[in-house]
Amino acid sequence: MLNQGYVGRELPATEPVEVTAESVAAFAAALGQSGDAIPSTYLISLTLPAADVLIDDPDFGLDFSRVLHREQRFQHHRPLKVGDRVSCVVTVDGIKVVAGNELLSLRTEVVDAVASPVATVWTTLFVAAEQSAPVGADK
Amino acid sequence: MTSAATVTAGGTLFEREFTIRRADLVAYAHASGDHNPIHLDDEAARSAGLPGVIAHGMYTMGLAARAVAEWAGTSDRVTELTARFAKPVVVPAEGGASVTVVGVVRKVAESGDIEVTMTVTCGTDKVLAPARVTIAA
Repeated sequence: MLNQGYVGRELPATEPVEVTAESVAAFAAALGQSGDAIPSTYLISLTLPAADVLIDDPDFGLDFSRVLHREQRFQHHRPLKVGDRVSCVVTVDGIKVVAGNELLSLRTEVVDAVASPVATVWTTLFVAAEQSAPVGADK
Repeated sequence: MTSAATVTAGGTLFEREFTIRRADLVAYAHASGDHNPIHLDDEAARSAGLPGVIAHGMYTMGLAARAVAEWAGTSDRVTELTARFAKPVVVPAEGGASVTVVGVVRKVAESGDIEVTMTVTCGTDKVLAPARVTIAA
């Protein structure tokens, strides 16, 4: 089970990362998308790694092999641009227990080099109960 | 093409069909940093109780966002994008999987912002349910 004591906890801001033309082009190419604008889901490549410290934290109790991505939401406060240097602050918004499984809600505030908001990104992860069948079994 | 005058609630804004191939998932794993083996390897997928390799939920959501961007002419008008991953998209090694994205106008705000509900299906499965996007005027 996840440690409920983490609900409301804000993780330290990640080191700023530059949005490079190369990383945007690779992301867009994988989706077959052309054009200059940055794909609307690109920020996931920064926000999910920002939550890695939770996976690596034995006190939190998150076993990633039992995790499925359940929901995803992006709110873009302004268009992201190549050359932006962005940093992520992840907050554990909630842990809901449903029939022994858990729903972990994370919120990530993405800010630019002058700390102006770029996007808010919400991720809900389904964490299967420890003794249950593998995560895909009920699908 | 994106004139607000032609956009009314209930109208279909776009309909697109995409094929997801395993090579796309490999490219996406590298680009996104999500290297979960259930998206790359049949054996890993089966040991997780899945029939075989499945697409990243974020890959399918990315295709829905691509359909939006191609209609709007840019991704930069997307202010809000939400999806729930209802069913996995199983991607066979041969031929890949076909996913259809249909965007229907839910509401046009006074500001001209367009709220769209997307139905994303693979065969008879609704794979993203619901999926919504707001496109700025």
